[in-house]
Amino acid sequence: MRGLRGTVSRWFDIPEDALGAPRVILSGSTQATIENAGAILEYSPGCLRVRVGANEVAVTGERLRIRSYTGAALCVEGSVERVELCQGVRRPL
Amino acid sequence: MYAHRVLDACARESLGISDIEAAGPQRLRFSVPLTGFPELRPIVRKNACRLHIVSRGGLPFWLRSMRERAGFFIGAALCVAVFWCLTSYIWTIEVVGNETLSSAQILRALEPYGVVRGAAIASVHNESVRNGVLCDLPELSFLTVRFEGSHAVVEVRERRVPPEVADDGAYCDIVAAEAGLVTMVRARQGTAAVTENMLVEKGDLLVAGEMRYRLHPGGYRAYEEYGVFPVRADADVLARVWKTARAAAPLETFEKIGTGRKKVRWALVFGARRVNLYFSTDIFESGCDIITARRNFEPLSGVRLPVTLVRETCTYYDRVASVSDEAALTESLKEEALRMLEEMTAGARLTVNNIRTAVLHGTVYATATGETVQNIAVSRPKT
Repeated sequence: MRGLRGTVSRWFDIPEDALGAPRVILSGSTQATIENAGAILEYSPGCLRVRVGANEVAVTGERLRIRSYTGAALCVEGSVERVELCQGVRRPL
Repeated sequence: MYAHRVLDACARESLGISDIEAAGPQRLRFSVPLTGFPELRPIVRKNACRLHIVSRGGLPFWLRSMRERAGFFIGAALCVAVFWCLTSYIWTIEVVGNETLSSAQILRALEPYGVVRGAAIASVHNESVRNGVLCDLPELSFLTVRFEGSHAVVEVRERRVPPEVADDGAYCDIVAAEAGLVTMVRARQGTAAVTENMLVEKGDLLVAGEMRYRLHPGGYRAYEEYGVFPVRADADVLARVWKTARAAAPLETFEKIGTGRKKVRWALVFGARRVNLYFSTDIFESGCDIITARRNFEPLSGVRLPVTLVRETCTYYDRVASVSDEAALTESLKEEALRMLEEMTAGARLTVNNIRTAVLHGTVYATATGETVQNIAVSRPKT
């Protein structure tokens, strides 16, 4: 799927996130927005793990709170220290 | 129990959850709109979680909490309705711009067209009022009614009648403007009816507006016939005119000296009805000056309530008689009489014949008599 998405994106010059690829936007160190996110795998004030396709994005920090969570995007606020993209999905807690 | 799965389900169902924060291990606190709440309970139950409502906020809940205060809202609505009603009607009317016509006359003329106290403002049509009143009162040339809240201002302009233009070509006679003794007659056109040293009264004919011409030349005829044709008489007739001016003043005058005693009364006027805020029905005694002050209530700019607060202040005084110096008063009256005489002659040369003074029933009189020579000729159209 990723290969097909990439091929279509290259051929037709369309951004991959328009085809459903996940997108992470970091605004300073206080806000992170994850678009085209899947399910929440783990949430605590210090860590947030979200499935993005076959991988997962982990946001770690302090006093993390989810400002909004819709089918299109997830916005997390707080003191963001690290944003990681992990290959594969670990078992949810 | 996986609390975060509840969040995933809510996001899939687009319930619009927001402000999500962890409140402990497997405890989440978030906000959900009222429209999404009915679908939230099944989702929570399906994920083996429990739902506790921490707080409620927003207009629907606020209105529900205000059910016990229905009287407050009903009263507020009534106030708004009363305020709207009050400002939709005319409560006070003011007339501006009138000089010869009285305000009462104009207000009476406005009554048939609906501009009265208590009338609805929406029922007053400026154009029809203007057309009607201008026909009823030809003395007016302009009228408009404007509204400042519940206060109606009727602005008028009176018609300025141009002076009557005299017909320079009309036939006329010369008559005496005043009584006097004729000293000179100079008739430029017309036939003189008086000569010098004749006494004339006011209105007497001095120069007739007619000219005679000979019908037949003289010669051997026994008489000459004269014809008469009308003309516009033009002449100067000088005469000695006597004038009298009198000035008078009482010897004893009264002066007001305040006693320091004051009485204040209050009243309210609702439209045309007066409500006294005092119990005494006595009128003010004599020997006092009454000052009445009126104040209208205008809570907002342009919103004038039909209520007037009236304050009547009565300041008592004593009348103290004082007698003037007769000699000084006489001299001042003589000067006054002379001044009046000079005003009557209007700049003509005045010869003062006599100034007499007399005291009669406590009043000093000064009479000045003088004579002047002036032109007493004035035109009078032929009838």
